Parts: sequence; structure tokens; C-alpha cells
Amino acid sequence: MSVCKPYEKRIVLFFYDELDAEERVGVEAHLQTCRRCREALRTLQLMGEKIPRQSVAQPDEAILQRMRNLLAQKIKAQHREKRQRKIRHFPLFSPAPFFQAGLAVLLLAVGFLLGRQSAPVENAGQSALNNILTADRLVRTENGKIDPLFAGVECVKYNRKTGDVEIYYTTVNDIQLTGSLQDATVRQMLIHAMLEKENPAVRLHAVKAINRFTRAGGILSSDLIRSLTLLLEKEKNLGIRLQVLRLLKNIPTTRAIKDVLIRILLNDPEPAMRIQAFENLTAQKPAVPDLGEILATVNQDSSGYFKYQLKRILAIKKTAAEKSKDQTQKVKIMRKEKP
Amino acid sequence: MELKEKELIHLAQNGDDEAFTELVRIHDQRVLQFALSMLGNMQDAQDVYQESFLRAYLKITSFRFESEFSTWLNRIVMNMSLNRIRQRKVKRFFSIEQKKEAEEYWDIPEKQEDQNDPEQLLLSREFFANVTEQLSCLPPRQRSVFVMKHLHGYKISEIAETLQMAPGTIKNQLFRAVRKLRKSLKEFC
Repeated sequence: MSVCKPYEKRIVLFFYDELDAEERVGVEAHLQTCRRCREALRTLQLMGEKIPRQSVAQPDEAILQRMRNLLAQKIKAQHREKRQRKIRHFPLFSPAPFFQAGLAVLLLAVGFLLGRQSAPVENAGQSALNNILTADRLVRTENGKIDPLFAGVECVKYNRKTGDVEIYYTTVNDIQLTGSLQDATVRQMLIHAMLEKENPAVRLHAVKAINRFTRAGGILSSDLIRSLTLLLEKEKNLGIRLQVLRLLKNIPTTRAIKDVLIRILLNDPEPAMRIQAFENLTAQKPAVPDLGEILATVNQDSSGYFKYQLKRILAIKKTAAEKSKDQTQKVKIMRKEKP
Repeated sequence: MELKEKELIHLAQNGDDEAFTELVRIHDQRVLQFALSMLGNMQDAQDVYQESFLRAYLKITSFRFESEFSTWLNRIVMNMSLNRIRQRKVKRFFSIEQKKEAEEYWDIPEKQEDQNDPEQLLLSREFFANVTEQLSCLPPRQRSVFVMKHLHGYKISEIAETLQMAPGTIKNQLFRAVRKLRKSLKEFC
């Protein structure tokens, strides 16, 4: 039941005794004549009875005493802080501006000197590396273990401008190594980053750096290809494995790569991996000789999505083949037309 | 303002910690109850109690006797409570888990009255659970106006002074809060 609009607010204020005398008389007169407003007031009165003033329980004296003690401790702490602040502001302890500037310069100088001893200095790092990494001493030792000095590859970047790979790694200090993939040291560090680092981001960036190198027309050495196939077999991160497959698409397929691709196509539980492997295999020129046989096996794949993707890839390839056939015919016709 | 309180304030302003402790003793029950009614749980109320008195201690020299000391203190408590609600996003006055605990903070009539009537007891419990739930749904400003007016019986002018808002705004906030509560508590009233 709704209350008369002009009295809606006034009835609440009437209930709380917050109207002036004139308004009060007006509301009282209205209440005599309006049943709905009377009921609204009654509801308020009932609410007032049900939730009386001071109905929030009074806290126990024990709680209050505990609170007072705690407050007293905090006030004491404030006093101590105040005293300390006063000491800090005592003239002897508040240095003049020129003294502050001198102190700042001194601290900077000390920091600089200390920093020189511990901060990464590229040349020093490079020379240290040159002493350690020679052709006869590579990162991976004969027993297959990684030299502990190279356990700390932190980041790998590919510099598009120079075509160099930048590897950030730690020995005692942070050192940056920059060089081309033709450089055996750089390759060793990259292989280490791909195969040994726990951080998947570092592994991924290493693969991406190689991928960019190949897309820029670089030719991969056999040790890198070997490491990539090895990574494909042992890597658990799907994103990295897909990245490796995409990378392998850009390079000529060797027997080892083909074997890995077929294994993935037939056995890998991830449809995305199977699809990418299929794309890699069909992209080969010349085509993989036993592709027909593989396709027959693949056709029994349980994943509908995989089958759909296979059809899509094959359709794209068919269209591309037809287009190139048309273009060849056109060229032939044009040649014929020309005397 | 009582002469004794005025003296205590003067002494506290001059660095007398004993005087400040006495002021705390005079006002702290009301402050804790006030914070409890705003925040709905004892832990937060106790934190606000500490923060408010510590702030009062640090700022007591800025008290100029232009208003009652209790109004000045209420303003601090209210601001601290509102800050706490905003910071901790205590949008709900009482969470469901705290509801049972919260019942202890209401001076429920059942405690004094007909304890032998289980039906009455249950209804009363349900009603106060509902009140707490509905109070939790009010916006902080409306909640503070309702708490000050309905639960603590302050005049509109005092609330306006404490919250530093115009009396007309307080009236509007009170009306809105009551309208919401009346609507939601209709079946009980």
C-alpha cells in the first residue's frame, strides 16, 4: 500500500520527531483523514519497537579494558617515534644542504666503485667467455652434463637489425653474450637454453630466436637441427612444441625430422601437434614418398577436428595446385599466341 | 560540555597523557558500540576504536571547542568506519558466516523476555538476522545516518554536524534508508 506522495518523507520525520511545530500539525491533521498514511506510520512504529534504540549490545568491560591497554601501548610507541623524530631534527643531525650534496656525491662514488666490481661489464664478460668457451671446450661436456658456469641462461632475444642472437646468462655476475648463430658458443648457449632451462619462457624465446633466424634466410647447422628434434621429443609444453614444428617447416626436411614428424602425426595425443605435423609433411618439396600410406592411417584418427583440419589443408593445397596449373597453362597459351 | 571534560581536553592538548586516558575512559564504550553498529563485527570495531583514539590523540590540539568533544570524536569514528568499509570493501554489514556471531552484538529482547517460548525465540532470531542482512545492503552513508538516528538517537542537526553534511541531505538519506528497510522488513512488522 503506497503512502500519499507529499507526506511520504514527512511521516518518517514525524516518526523520528524531526518536524517543526507547523509541519507536525499538518501531518497530524493528514493522519486523521488518511488510512494509508496511518498504516505507514504504524509500520514505522512497529519497526521502532522491534529494533529499539541502543539495541546494539554494550561491549563488555573486559574487552574495553583490553582495548585501553592496547591503546596505551600504541600511545607510548607514538611517544618513542616522536622522540626519535626530534633527535633526527636536532641541528647536529640535520646536515646543511651543501653537506647533503657532498654526502650524495660521496655515496654515488662509492656505489660506482662497488658497481664496477659487481655490475655486468660486457667486455669483461666477453673476455671471460673467450677464455672458457673455445672450440675444444663447449658448454656440454663429454659426459653430457652442462658446465655449471652456464647454468644460468635468463633470457634469449633475436636482434632483427643485426641478425644476432642475444643471450643473457649468469655466471657470478650477469653477462650478455651477443653473436651470430654461426658462432659455436652462441649455438651452445642456445641449445643449453632450449634443452636445460626450467623456465619455459626462456626455452620458447630460444626457439623463437632460431625461428626468426631461419625466416630471415639463415641456414641452421646440424647441431641445432639435432637439438630441435630432441626438444620436440622431450618438451612437454605444447606452445613450445608447436613453435618448434613451425620452425621446422621453414627448413629442408632431413630423414630424422621426417621420422619425428610421422611419429607425431600418428601418435601425438594433441590434435594441434598432429595438424601442424601434417602441414609440415605436406609442405615438403618433393613430397614425402610414403605420404599416401600415412594419409590412410591418419584417416582413422578419432578426432573430428583433426579430420576437418586435414581436409581444409588438403583443399587449400589443391586450390593452390590448380591455380599454379592454370597459370602455367596461361603462360603456355600466351607463348603459343606469340609468334 | 562539562567543566571536567573541558579541563581534561586542555590538559591533553598540553601533552598530559593521563588526561587523555581519562577522556578515553569516558567515551570509549560509546565509541566501540558506535563502531560496532557501523561495521557489524567486533574485530573491525576494535580496529576502528584503536585507530580513532590514536588519531584523536595525535590531533587533539586541533580541537577548538567549536563543537562537543563527543561530536568531534564521532566524526573521527564515522570517517574511520567509512574508510574501513571502502578499503576492505566490507559491502556486507555481516557476512553469512558472521551472522551467528553478529546476533550476539544485538541486545535482542529475547535475552530478557520470554525465553521459554521457542517459536518467539526463533522469530526474533530470524528478524534480527534479517535486519543485519538488510543493513548490510544499505549504502555506507545511508547506513551511518540510520545507525546514528535510529540506533543511537542523535538529532538530525547533530548527525549533520558529525557527518559534515546539510540537514536536508541527512533527512533524504534517512528517508531512503527507512524506506528500504521498511520494504524489506515488511513481513516482520
